[in-house]
Amino acid sequence: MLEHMTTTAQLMGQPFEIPEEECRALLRAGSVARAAVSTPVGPHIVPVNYAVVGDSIVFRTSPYSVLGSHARGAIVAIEIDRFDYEHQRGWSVVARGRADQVTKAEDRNEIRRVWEPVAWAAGERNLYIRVPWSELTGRRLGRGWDPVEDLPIQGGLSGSTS
Amino acid sequence: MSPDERWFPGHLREIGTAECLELLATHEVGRVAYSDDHGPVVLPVNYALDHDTILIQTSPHSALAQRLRDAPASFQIDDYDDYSQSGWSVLVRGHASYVDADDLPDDRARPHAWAEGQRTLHLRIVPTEISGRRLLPA
Repeated sequence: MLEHMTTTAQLMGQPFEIPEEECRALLRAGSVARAAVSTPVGPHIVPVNYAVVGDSIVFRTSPYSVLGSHARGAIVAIEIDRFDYEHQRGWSVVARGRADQVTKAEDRNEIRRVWEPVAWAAGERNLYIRVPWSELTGRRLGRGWDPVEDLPIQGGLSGSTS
Repeated sequence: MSPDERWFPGHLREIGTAECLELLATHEVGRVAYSDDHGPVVLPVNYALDHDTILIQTSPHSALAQRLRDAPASFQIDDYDDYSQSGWSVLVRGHASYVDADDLPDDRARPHAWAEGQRTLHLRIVPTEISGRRLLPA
């Protein structure tokens, strides 16, 4: 499957763009991302521990954090990447969409079913934010590198039902 | 510390400005964020630290050049180890603008792009705030 995707990417002749399916695979394989939000005084970038649930990125935060204050109802860009300093290359994937708060108990339970980070002090990070992406793009950096070749083998990743 | 940006369980420690600058000085790729008509945009760029400002190279025709001629911008670097669930992150928030050729440092101190392309324009992010956090394993 991964080999097929690699070949497809090469055949598409777009050396710097990463096809959407590969972007999705890279997102699923990761656990740390950077969330960017706009605030009245400028953009803010916050590292987050995330999961992919369907076609959404989900992360947890405190209601009082930058993300808690600015993400709900706003467009959020979530970025993941990998840099290979030795070879001066890398890749980056960005998912962008309008964030919402996961309020329904059944949705939260669904998320918890597929993703439960290590137990956290109650009340501190009790806000689940979901970003269903409307844009999903990826690019290779430097001299072109197939990120899917390097995907770590992981079993049983968070959530996809799609 | 306010209960913000808790990015994982574990201990979060603030990193002082001097150490943030040291981390910025010893890395070469980070992520720049700005806002376009649709919302925030974030992308990786090569950079160099010039005193306490961030220097980025780009093409004069890029979206970055259009958006960061004179605008708020953020710049972030990090290193996170999945296995030990530890790492650090440094954030620079400030204002971006074009750099005159006369204000550029020596070539050694300039950013060096990993990709080919006509990157004849330099942008500078002057910080209004530099902050950092270290995440120690739980």
